This record gives sequence, C-alpha cells and structure tokens, in this order.
Amino acid sequence: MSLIQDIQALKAEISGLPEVERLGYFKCWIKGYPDQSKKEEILTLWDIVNQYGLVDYPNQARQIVILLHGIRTEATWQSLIAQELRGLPNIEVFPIGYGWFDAVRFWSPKFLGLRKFPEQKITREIRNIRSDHQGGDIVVVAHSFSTYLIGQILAEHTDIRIRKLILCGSIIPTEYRWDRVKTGKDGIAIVNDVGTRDLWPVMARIGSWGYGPSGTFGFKTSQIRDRYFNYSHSDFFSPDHVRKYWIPFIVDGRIVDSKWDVDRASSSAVLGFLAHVPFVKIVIPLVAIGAWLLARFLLSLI
Amino acid sequence: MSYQSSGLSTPEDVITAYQRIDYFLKREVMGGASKRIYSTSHIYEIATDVGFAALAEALAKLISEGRLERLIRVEPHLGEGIADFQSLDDIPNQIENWRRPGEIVQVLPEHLRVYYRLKK
Repeated sequence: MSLIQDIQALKAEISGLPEVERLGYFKCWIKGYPDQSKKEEILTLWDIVNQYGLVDYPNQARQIVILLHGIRTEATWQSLIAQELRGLPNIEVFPIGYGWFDAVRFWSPKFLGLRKFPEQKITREIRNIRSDHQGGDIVVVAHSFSTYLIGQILAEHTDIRIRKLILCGSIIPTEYRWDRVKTGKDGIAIVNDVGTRDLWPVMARIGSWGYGPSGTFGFKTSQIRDRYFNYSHSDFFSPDHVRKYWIPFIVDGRIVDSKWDVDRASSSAVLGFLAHVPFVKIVIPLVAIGAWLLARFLLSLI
Repeated sequence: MSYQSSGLSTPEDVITAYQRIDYFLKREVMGGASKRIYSTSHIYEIATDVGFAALAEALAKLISEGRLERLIRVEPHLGEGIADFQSLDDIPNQIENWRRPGEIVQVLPEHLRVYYRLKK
C-alpha cells in the first residue's frame, strides 16, 4: 500500500471513532507510522485527502473524462478543470472541441444540417478515446451546445457507452426521451447542474428547433438528478465547484447535494411562459402566415 | 497500474513538482511576500498535474531544506481558522473559538488544514 492509501484507510478508521478520541488516535497513528521518513508528507496528504474527499479510490475503475465545450468559445474552462482532475489518481482527461461554432449555425433549424459537423467530430473523438483506452469508464462533462450534441449522440449512436454524464447549461429539450437511453445502475449516471439564473437555455428554446430549457429548469425525470445552483450560464467553472460537486461524482459516483436545491425561489413566471410557448413551431409560423395573408390582401387592393 | 494511479510518485514527478514550487517561491521572495502563507491546494495548483504523492514529497524536501515552514491551522468551519500550531503535538483537544464567542471546539483531525510559508 502507498502512503496515500494508508491515509485513506486512516480516514475511514477515524470516521468510526467517537469525536473525543479522534485527534489522539490521529497523533498516535502518525507517531507509530512504520516509515518515519514520511512523517512530513503525512500531514500534506491528510490535508489533500480531506479536501478532495477521496476515500475509496484504490478500488475505483479508471475514469476517462471527456470535456466538451459550448459555442463561440475557446473554452479556457477546459484547461482549468483538466488541471483539477489530472492530479487525481486513476483519471485521464481529454478536453475536446469542434472549433469556433458561430451563432448562425447554432440558431439554424436542425433540418438544414448545419449542426451536424460538431456532432460527427465528437462522435469520432469518443470512439477514438474508447478504442485507445479500453478498461476505463467514460465520463463526459458537457456544457451548453455540447449538451445538445451529446443528447443527439446518445440517441443516434446507441453503441457508444458512457458511464457518467455531467450536464451544465443544458439546452437539451426537457421532453428528451431519456427512457430510451440506458440509465441507472448498469447504464449512465446523469447529473444535470442547473443554473437558475441561466437565460441561455430559454433563449435557445425560443429561437430555434431542437433545444430546450433543461439548464434553467431541470428535466424533472426519475432518470436524471437535477441539481440547482444560483448560477448563470458559465458559473460552473470554478475550482470550488469542480472540487465540491464534480470530483466526487467522477471519482466514485457520489452526488453532493446543493443547498440551492432547497433554498431557491420559484422560477419567474415570464421565464416559465417563454420556455414553454412553442415560438418557432407555432408563433413564428402563424406570424409568417399572417404577414403573407396581409401582403396578399394589400396586393389585391392595388 | 501506473505510478500515479497507485498513489505512488515517480522521481521525475517529484523533481518537476520541486522545480515548479521552487520557481514560484523565488518569484514570491523577489516580490517581497515573506509573510504570505499558502494552502496545500494553492501549491498544488502551482505544481500542476504531478500527482499528490509527488507534491507531498516535494514539499517535504523544501521543508527539510529550510525553504518553507509548515503550520497547522485548526479550521472547524470552512475558511475560518481559529488557531495556528507549529506541530501536531501542540494541538489541544479543545479550543475556544474566538470568532464565535462562547463556542468551544472539539478539535477533530478533519479540522486540520496545512499551510506553508517562506522561512525567514
């Protein structure tokens, strides 16, 4: 056993003791550690184990973490998170991108096929990573437009196996058929980190086809754990959030509760209305038909 | 199993961590930061992607060389340190929390945070 594994075992032992005995036990353990040349390192590693909450990692499967960014960004957050994760044992990290994806292609209707390129690129990347890293669990962290892409990939490429999925700033429609994706114990474990001040999922829902406000309101389905934060669209990318909420999920599947789950107020009625009125499907076509009829009427008067 | 996944460190990782922290400390000294203290996670961010075991070894080396000194801070609530100690033996079982008058803290190992500062 390595020193860090000994310390993790110590943490587990200490947690079972009465509080009054813990400090004394801890001091004795360090004094009695067989390799006293490691004494200085013990406290540093104890601090790390406490902060990062790693207790069971020696038995964990290797985690291959794929980070997927949103549009119109070079996603510096990927580097920050990669840095946080790379120091952890049993984890490999792959920040994946699809270049600069402009707003025009983002807003374009799905049937025009302009959104297809990034979907194909990410599908290829996941397949390559899977092929090069057999034996590990694939974990995907997707933000914004990438949540839409991963939703499409899971729906269309059912051979792709992902073990854990973290969504943030999600624009996947709330009516997405998660029941067709194998979730739960032997399938994908999914956490949807919701920003209750995030307007972009609602804007995406209003402005084009195929998107939804799940990043603002959650999915509210038994197959996904929605976790709420007082965040806007990109507030998830802080070392604190990664350490507190994402690392426990990536390492051992633990879902740490957010206080905002309970504390948050009801969503704005206006936002709720905008999120659920089918603008692009009904309102915009009706306005277009009305304009066309008006134009015909006016032309008939000439 | 790789060194890192087994919680072990390679000599190369330790050297890399040492060099990065050493470079950081030299810059801090030049900037006149002799009183500043650094948390383990702060130094880990400086060492980057070397693994925790290598980080701990590099820090132990810097302490043994007299470049850094370690202090143990009791933080019963996140970010709220109430007392600093040079050694583990000095830490009593109970401390009065000056931040929250009247509160007597039963010190737990989970309350201990390790910080480092430049040795004068």
